[in-house]
Parts: sequence; C-alpha cells; structure tokens
Amino acid sequence: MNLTINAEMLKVGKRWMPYILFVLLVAGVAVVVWLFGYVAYKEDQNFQEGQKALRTFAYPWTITALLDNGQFWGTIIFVAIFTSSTMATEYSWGTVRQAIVRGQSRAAYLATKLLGTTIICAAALLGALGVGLLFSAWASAAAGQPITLDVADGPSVPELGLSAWPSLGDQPR
Amino acid sequence: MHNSEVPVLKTSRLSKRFGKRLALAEVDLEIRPGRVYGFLGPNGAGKTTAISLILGLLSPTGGHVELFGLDTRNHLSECLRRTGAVLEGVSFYPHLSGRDNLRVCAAISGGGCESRIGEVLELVGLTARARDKERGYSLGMRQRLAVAAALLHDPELLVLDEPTNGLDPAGMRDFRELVRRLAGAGKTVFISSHLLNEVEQMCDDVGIIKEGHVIAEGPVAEMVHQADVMEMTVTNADAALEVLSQIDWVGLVTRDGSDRLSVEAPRARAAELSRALAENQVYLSELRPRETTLEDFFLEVTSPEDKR
Repeated sequence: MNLTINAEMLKVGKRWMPYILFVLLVAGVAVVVWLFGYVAYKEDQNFQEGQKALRTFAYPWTITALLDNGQFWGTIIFVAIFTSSTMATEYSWGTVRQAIVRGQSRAAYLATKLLGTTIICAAALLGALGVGLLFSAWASAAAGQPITLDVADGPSVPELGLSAWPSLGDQPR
Repeated sequence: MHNSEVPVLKTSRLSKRFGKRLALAEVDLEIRPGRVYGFLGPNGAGKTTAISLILGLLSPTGGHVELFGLDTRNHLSECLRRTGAVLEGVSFYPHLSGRDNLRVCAAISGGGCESRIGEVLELVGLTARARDKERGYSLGMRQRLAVAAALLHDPELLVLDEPTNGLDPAGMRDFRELVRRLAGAGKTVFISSHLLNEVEQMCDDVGIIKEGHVIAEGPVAEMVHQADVMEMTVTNADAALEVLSQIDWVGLVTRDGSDRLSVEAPRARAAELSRALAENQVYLSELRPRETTLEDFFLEVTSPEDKR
C-alpha cells in the first residue's frame, strides 16, 4: 500500500492542478486575513466593526476565523475538484487498467488512491492554514497588535494549561 | 525451469455474452511454455474480449481460464503478477515522463522491479527519451513504453493485444526481434493481431477466431505449407497451354494474364516442365513456386462460405 501511495504522490506531484488549487486556497486565506481583516481594521472608524475586523487577523482569533471562513469554503472546493479529477482521470486515461492487469483489485486500488488523495488534501489544507497563520503574524505586527495566543483580558495559555492540570487529577478512575 | 506438461495459458469453454450478442463461444486454447502464439481474427471477432477475459478485466459468461495451471477464478492476483500485458489503446499518465510512468507501474506491481527500469527502457530503445513527458511520445513510442511496462516485473507470460499498431517498419522489425528474443529466453508470448505477415514471422502457433469461434489452430509451419502450384511467364501462352495439356502429370492450368499461367504440378518436376516447353519453342521468362502464406490461409478460413 505504501508503494501505491508513493506512486500516487508522484502522479499528483507532477500535475499543475494541485498547485493551482493550493494557490487559490492561499489566495482565499489572504483575502480573509488582509482584506476582511487588516484593511477593514485600518479603514473602519466604527469601533465595533474595527474590533470585528481585528478578530479576523489577530491572534488567537484568527485561527478560528481562518477555519470558519476561507478555509472552510476553500476546503470543499479543493477536495471536490481534486478528488473528482484524480479519480476521473484514472478512467478517462484508462490507466486504472494498468493496475488491474497487474493483479490489483479495482476496489483496493481505488481505496488506496482515495487514501493518497486524502493525505494530499490534508497536507494542502494544513499548508494553507500555516500560510494563513504567517499572514496573521505579519498583519498583527503591522497593526501593532501582540503576536500571542493569549486572549486579551483573559487567562494566558500557560494559565489555561495550569488551570486544566489539577482537574486532570480529579478525573474518576 | 518450466514444467512443459502444464500449459502456461489454457481456456476451457470460455464464453462471453454481451446482452444478446455472443462475443466468445466456448473457446478452448492451450499455450505451452516458451511458445509464441498468434491470435488472429478479423475486427470484431472476439480477440480483445478473449484477452480481457484472460486478464480478468471481464468476467466470463461461461468456462474458465487457467494461467500457469492455476484457475484464475481463485488465483487471479497471483497469476497476473506472473503476467505482463500490453492492452489495445495503451494508457499512461501523459504528464509523467516515460521513466516516471514505469516507476508508477513498478509501484503498482508491488515494488522490487524499479531496478529494472533502465534495463527495459534500453530493451525497447527508449533510453534517450525516458525523461520526456509521455504526451510528447509518438504512437510507436507509446507502444514501446507499454512493452517496457509489461516486461518490468520479468513476467513468464506476455499478453500483447495488437502490439505493433502504430509502429513504423523499423519499429515492427525491432519488435519482432524482441519477441523472438523473449521467446528464446523462455518467455511465453500471446499476441493478438490482424497483421498476418507479422504473425507469420513471429509466431510458432496460431489460433484463428471468427465471430467468437476458434475456427483453426495449429503450428504456423503447418498452415504455411508449400502448395504444388507454379507460376510462370511465357513467350507464347497459347502454345504453352497446348503443350501443358499433353503432359499427364500436369493438373489444372489457369491463365492469369496475357502471358502468365498458374500450373498445378509437382515442384520437383519444374525442370522437366521447363524442358518440355522449350522443346516446343515456348520459353520461360519466369518460373516460381506459389507459396501459401498465412494470409492465404487466413482469408480462406475466414471468408464467407459463398466466396471461397
């Protein structure tokens, strides 16, 4: 199975489509962070709207903002296009027959292919999320906001960890 | 070493029906190790259907296939791992190079044969173009890449469906030599084709299929026998006909043109024939035995009854 997944990586890695989709995904992330976040924050005179925009690009809210907005819709489009393309081309090119005449069952081959596609999709999404977080750090710094995972006026991340620690000891055995 | 008693490929009453159309009717084939078997038939005769059934791409309506003595209904994967196939309308990933396509094939085959990629590329003469994308290959190069892919895992049996399609004359000659070399190395080769001349030169045995039925099978040498017919060009055809009619061991004489005759007579008596004509002032400018080719045999057995 590892070999078949490696073969899948080789096939996908040399196509343009996943790279174009990844760029589109990153573009979506950029729109969320920079346009709906940073630019709106800078231009909006209304305090409430400004705070809303701030929560789109500044840590730690940007993580949920990215996952809720651009990432969510980007994910669906990316997975749908990518999966249907990789599956359909096996049939339209007739290459699935190469696998079947080599003793692979059609179901096993397609299942392995689906697994490979899932891994690639997950890697692309994590990559896009990573780029989004870098954009957020950049935008936060440009807006003079702290780059921290601590929530303003709330407990810090270490405090959250420490507050969770004793409760672990209280778990019933 | 092969066990020569066990056929590499055997089909028993193999049948396939598509709706009301019977594509293959109780076909029995048996191919011994190390033989090159040509599977001939007109377009739509059932060649590709038979190959698809042998390779498990289709399920038979009746009968079964045995490869290496194993019933493919129970041992298909195991059998296919010992088989290499080139299918009609060869398919590869167009965005990958020839070498990368072979790497994919090696992975699908279960690994262990990636080290043979260079060797098979060399064997089919694609080393120089191995890094080019498949979409830039000519039809002949694709065929050669398909052969390389089929040979990658060093199979005992090669199943080739119309392998010389798209090859130029030099490519065909190279392919013939490759097949003979493989057979010499102990591989068994099953070739479907409608190129009779190719099959005649490449194959040891031939099976002819028509409308789903195998109508003739046997060694090529038996089908391509020398007929006792001579063709001659003479200076005076009318006089020649007169002379030949008086020789008792001469059979049917047919006039093919103004000065060409076909004469049924023993090949061993060609000199006597020539002398008899010369003694009557009829001189030969050409005399040669007519050879029955596989094409003659094929056309004879596949043409409709009323045309024979």
